Amino acid sequence: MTVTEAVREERDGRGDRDPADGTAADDGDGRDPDPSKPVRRAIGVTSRAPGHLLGFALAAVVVALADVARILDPVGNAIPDAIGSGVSLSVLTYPSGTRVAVVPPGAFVGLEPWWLVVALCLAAVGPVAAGVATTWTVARATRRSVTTERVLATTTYVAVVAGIWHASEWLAAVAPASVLPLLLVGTWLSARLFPAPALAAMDRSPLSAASEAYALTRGRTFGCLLSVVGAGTLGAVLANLPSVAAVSLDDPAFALGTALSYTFAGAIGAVAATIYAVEARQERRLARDERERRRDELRREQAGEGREHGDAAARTGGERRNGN
Amino acid sequence: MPGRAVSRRTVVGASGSAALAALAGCLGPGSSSASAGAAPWPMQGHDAGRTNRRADADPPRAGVREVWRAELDGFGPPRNQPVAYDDVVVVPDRGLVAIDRADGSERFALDVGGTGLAVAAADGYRTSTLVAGGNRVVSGLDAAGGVDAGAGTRIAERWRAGDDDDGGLFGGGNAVLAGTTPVAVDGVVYHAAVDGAVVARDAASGRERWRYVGERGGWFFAVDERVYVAAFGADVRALDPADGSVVWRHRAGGDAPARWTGVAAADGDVFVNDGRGITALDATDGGSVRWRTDDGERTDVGTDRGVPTVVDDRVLLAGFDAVYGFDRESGERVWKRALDPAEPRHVAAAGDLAFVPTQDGQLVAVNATTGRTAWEFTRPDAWEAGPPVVADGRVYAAVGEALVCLEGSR
Repeated sequence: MTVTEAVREERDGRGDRDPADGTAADDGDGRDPDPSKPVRRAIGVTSRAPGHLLGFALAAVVVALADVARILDPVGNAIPDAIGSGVSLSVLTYPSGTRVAVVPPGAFVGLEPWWLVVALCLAAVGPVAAGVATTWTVARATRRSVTTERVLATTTYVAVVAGIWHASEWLAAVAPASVLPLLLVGTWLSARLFPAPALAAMDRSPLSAASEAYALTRGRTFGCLLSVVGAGTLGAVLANLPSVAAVSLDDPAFALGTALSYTFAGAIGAVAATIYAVEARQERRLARDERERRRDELRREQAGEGREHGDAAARTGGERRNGN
Repeated sequence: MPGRAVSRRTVVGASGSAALAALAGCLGPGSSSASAGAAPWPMQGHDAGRTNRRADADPPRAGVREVWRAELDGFGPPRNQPVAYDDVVVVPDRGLVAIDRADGSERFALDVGGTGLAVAAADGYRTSTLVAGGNRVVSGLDAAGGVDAGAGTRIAERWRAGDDDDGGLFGGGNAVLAGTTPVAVDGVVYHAAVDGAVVARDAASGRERWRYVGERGGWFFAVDERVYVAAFGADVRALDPADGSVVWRHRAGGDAPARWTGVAAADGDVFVNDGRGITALDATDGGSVRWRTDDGERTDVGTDRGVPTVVDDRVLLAGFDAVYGFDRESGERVWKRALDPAEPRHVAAAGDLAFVPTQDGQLVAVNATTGRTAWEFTRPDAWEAGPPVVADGRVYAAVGEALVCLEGSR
């Protein structure tokens, strides 16, 4: 089941009708694509096709193993006592997910080179796993193949975002006054670049994916922000549910919370981004076609008027010539 | 976009292999461990047993003079003892200030709230971890001061645990009671937590190894062969340092006091402030009582403050208005000096001398065996002195609002 099919099924099931302007969509359903509420629709898609969760579920296992390694290694952690005891704000940089073991910048100071390499490798596990899982989820949702280029493009995008996120965290640690501006800019960018991972997983380089995502979200920043916050809140709620049942900080229930959060928030976020990307592209293409159609009509009208003017002028000129 | 199709199994397998390889790298043989054992005064109380005595030191014995003084920003002398390692002495003074022991210049300053200090070996790091423990939070810092990030900020914090609100629950302000400050041994730091627990934590990563919570809390502790924990109104317990399980407990029976506070441990003996003096327990015999300072005179050391100092043949204890020297074998009181010790009531000793900072700004060096005065140092503008440390044959102590370096003939 593709995203388009699932969304159509969901619409039909709910009896929803989108406002139509009389223009036929490319998928032939007779309605405009509507990239609104992608998270809510992604939940519907995923509930109908739970296989979408598989990629991020496997990624969650990999990330949990990496988290255990980060907690056991001698490198300092920001939250060393438990896995999943809190939810990182890095969810704003979807799809880096709800990572909890964060290496503070001071933990790198004085570190032996070998452990520095290990720490960097472990820090890369999350973005790599998220990149691969995103590519797989998007490919499944759009019936595309998982190619090396797509995996590399998505992973590169996610890794760069994660790197920028950590750099901003460090900047905030050094200059606390920068926290608010960084938070505002980061939140705004996370909304504007919301569909970029899905675009990178489809057919874009990381840079062009970001550029297209920025263009596709123009005028819909607030709606996309709600989507990002919605996915983040879902992950946070799921991550914190097991903590109620956990008896101590080292209880495995915390790890379960992280895995749940990563699986659901990651997969639903990826599907939501895909829905948004596909439909916003379609809408943009329709809008462009409509503009071109109107331009052609205008051109034809102008050409017709020109011909009429020409005929009239020719007639007028002939009459004058005849009169002379 | 053209590309070669990769099977899902390949993708998942590759990502899993990468994670496992990284995991194996972490759990494999480690690199060289930083050593904090050679530091002249690596923690408050000098060692994990809180003997507060450096046996191999050669402190000045006469003709004491001030070599340099470094002004401090705080109000009055810091109540928590400095620590000395590498070539600096670190003073807890509105944050931590590292001062060069050679000339008194400031090497670096760290903006952290914890005033209980211990330097610990950090496996995987080229530099040791300086553990700064407050009443609610404990953090592990690069002992070399981290890197300067500009704007007066340094990046040095390797880990942090506890509540960020470091308001003083016990003692004055952010000062941490002597006897509850962090101690470190073999790359493990032990510290008191706000819930009355004693926590063992990896000094490099900050990972919690175990946590012991007694029914009445366990604020006072020392580490030797075991972790010895004492709490007001509860039993003295010996914990296994490997997992925090209780090995033995000493129950205060009959009319004996159970107002345990400061603990020191050395060579199989545990010396506990029992509210009237000292009770010595045999750690090798399940905590049986070796002796008790019961000479009919109430020592009145202050039930929540005094920590015994252990030297070769004496155990010293500071009270409200006097310092006492007890025979280490019998517990008999050998000497008493009518001084007015300043907080914290934990007398530092080096070689055969003990150093008593007083509330009127004096630093008095006494012979630990006889209690006789060796020398006194006073500054006219100082109203109180702080606990000293000894390194390089010199004494470093906060006197008034400055850290002074004293040297003399040896």
